[in-house]
Amino acid sequence: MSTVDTGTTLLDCDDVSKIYCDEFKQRRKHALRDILFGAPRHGRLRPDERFALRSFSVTVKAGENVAVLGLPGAGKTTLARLVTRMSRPDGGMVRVRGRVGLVFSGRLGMNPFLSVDEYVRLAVAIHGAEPDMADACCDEALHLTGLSDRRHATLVNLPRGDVRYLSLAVALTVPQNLRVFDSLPNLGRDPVGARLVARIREHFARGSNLILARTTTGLPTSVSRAIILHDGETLYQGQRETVVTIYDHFVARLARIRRAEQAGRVADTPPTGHHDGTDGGASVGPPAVDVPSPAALIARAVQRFDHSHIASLAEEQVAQDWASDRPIVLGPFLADVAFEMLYWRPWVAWMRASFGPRRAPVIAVSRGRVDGWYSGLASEYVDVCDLVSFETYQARNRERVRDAGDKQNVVSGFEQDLLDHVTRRLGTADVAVVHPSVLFRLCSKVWRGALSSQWLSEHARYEHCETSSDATPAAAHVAEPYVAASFWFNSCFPDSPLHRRVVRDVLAELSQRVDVIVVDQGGVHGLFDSIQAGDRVRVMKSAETDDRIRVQARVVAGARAFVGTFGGLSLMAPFYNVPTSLLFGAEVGLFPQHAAVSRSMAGATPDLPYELTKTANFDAGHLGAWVDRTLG
Amino acid sequence: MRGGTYSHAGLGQSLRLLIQQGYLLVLRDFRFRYRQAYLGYVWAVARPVAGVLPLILVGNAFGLGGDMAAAEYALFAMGGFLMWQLFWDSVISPQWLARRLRRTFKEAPLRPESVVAAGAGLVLFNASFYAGIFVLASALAQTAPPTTVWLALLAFPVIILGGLAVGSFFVPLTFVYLDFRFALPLLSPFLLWTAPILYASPPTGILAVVNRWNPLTYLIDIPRQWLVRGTTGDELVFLFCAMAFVTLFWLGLFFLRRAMPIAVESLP
Repeated sequence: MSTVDTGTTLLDCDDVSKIYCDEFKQRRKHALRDILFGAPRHGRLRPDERFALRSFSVTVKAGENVAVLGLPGAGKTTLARLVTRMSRPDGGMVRVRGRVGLVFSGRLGMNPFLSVDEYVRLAVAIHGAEPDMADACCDEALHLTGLSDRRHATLVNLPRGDVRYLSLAVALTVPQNLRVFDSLPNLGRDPVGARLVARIREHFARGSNLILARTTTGLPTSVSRAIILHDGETLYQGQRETVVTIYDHFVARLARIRRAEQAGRVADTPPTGHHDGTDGGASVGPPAVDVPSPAALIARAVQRFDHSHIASLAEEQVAQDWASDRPIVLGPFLADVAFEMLYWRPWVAWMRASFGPRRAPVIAVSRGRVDGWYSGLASEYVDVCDLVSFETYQARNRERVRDAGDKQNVVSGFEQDLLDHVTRRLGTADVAVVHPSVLFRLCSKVWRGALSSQWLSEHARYEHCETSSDATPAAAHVAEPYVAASFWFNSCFPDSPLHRRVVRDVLAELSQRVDVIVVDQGGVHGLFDSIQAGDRVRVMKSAETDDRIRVQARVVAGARAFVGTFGGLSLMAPFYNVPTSLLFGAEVGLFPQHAAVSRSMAGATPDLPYELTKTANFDAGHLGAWVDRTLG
Repeated sequence: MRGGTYSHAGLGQSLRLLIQQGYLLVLRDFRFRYRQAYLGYVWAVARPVAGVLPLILVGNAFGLGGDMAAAEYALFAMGGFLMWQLFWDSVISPQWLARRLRRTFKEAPLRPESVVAAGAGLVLFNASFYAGIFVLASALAQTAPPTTVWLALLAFPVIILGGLAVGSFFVPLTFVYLDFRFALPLLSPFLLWTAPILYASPPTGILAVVNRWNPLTYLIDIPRQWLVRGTTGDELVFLFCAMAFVTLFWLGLFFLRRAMPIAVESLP
């Protein structure tokens, strides 16, 4: 056998097409015509013909493993036949350098009346072993299968499994420049199976293999590139990891679609076809099932992979930073409190739980003097107002929100300045920064449905906030016990007569039972002016100070219960173990992801009462009962 | 698409591998065909030998040998018939073997030429029996072989090659339509009687014309003359005939290699 240098192209399939006829009689007719008057097809199809392979290209270099993944009927065996020259292409070129062998466990010319030795010799010859190496190949194949001492036995007296093993052993033994694995052999756990598996692994380690597989199970890690083949066409190709993920997704989706088709119902994917009902109603039977094309499925899988890949890259980066000896700055967090409660703080908690404590400092940077929120999560808390004045913070943060929105998808100039301040305080520029933009970008993918919401639940730990210092109510404002309430109008609780009435009803219902402190954040013009009448309801105007959030948090933390609009500071309550009842007006304004996460967050404390009620279903009596139960 | 699977190997290696494959395929065929026969491989040659005896008797009775004596005609007819049988075995052996290897062709990269090599091996096996029978017949007739007998021995491969050349065309065709296989036995008596194998060629008449245009006449009659009589003066004609069949053989191989993948794809 000739030797080939590493890197030399062993196989070059260039734009290869193969036409196949499904109808046997037609196939015979075409075959006779092709044998007698055969001419290049130029991609022309005759009746009952289809492309078993179309414009397919692949190269395999010496030392490289390339995989072609495809479901049954995808064209893998056709490709194997073309590469091993059992078939000729109808278009394109197949160039093979050196000898190519097909690895399969079929019965190579088996005649049950041959002896084991004769069969092995025949199989070795079919695989193309030159006579001077045939003896060695035979001995090795017999040794691998443990049949050396049964070489004179007749095949008919051998278990079928042994013959299968023999065929496979021969295929693995005969030296080849390129090996084509037509499916990954499913071998038993017996000693012979183990030896064959070991031999297959040796070949994979050595490289120069084209692996055709139906599933990604058992696909060797040494595969450098992979191709997804479907209905004879390449749907996707790339690095192993990418293709494996995409292929698994593709197969799963296809299986679901086929199950849906069999069940006669519409697949759970958005329709890709157009149904305007203009077919005159002629068709009778089950409704048509709209299914995405394989290419569309792959495109979707690719998109999903890209997103999940980004997520894994981000996670990897964070893990690396955490493992380093450098100080880590978490933040600065400047966005809405709700995001901090629902996503940022749980993510930080997840980091700490996942990567463990570290010797180098972890500095949390936020605003509002919320050091209690990061107690136990970070070794140090730095407030933005320790770095810049409160006025500067207000002005530049307004500027940031105006330019890029409240969500911190990018590191703004102001944030960069804050980070510079932090590094100066630390006395080193060698600082790792985990900026909220990392999380916000991933969250936005989750919110768009591009990344599984499972990612969020897997990367969050809902830990309670420290209550030792924050729980002390502002004595000047409140008397215990009390219920905290906070209402403001937003997209999920728009300003409307109904909502104004609901707020009044809530406060009236609560004040019949207990003192109520309303945290007025603004945005509810004139609403609280009319409810001053009740002695038990007190409105606490939030002062524009640098510790505003902490003050609000103290009020919430000290309450026996909290009732308010969904969002914002309302989402602090569950973190302080405060029973919470939140209201929303319209689903359209209630982002389902936030609602789901808030439920998960509340679910972290199993006995914590948590309600999310649509105002249309609001019942003052029900709320009163809830409060009664909560106050015990 | 590149050519031969083993083009990188030397021609010698390639040929040895082909012979090895041919031998093993013949062995496989024999093991299967005669697995339940007590006399085994004897049956491989019994049929043609048994077939020629009545023909000799009838030919003698009807004077098909012209002015030949009975013993001389017997050797003449037997020599001619065994050479014909050699040719005919070469025609049909490859397609016999190939049909029994359909599944292997479908599943494994078995070279199409290997069935031609196997066919040749099968014919050579039969030829050894035919030669033994002819030697025995000569001894019984107390006839010494002429000095040109070595020419006859040299002609044997050409006859086999001629048969394989024709047979190579039939291998892929019988894969596609069995009609070709069923038609072959019909062709056999036609070829047998249109060449002067069991009779002396008449000097005139339609049969003489047919004999003259039938290439088998030269492929079989001339070596047969070398085997039983001596030089014929037509040695050069045989050489041309041999060259034509060798050319046909290469064409047959080319056709086989080109057509076999198509034929295999047509299998159910």
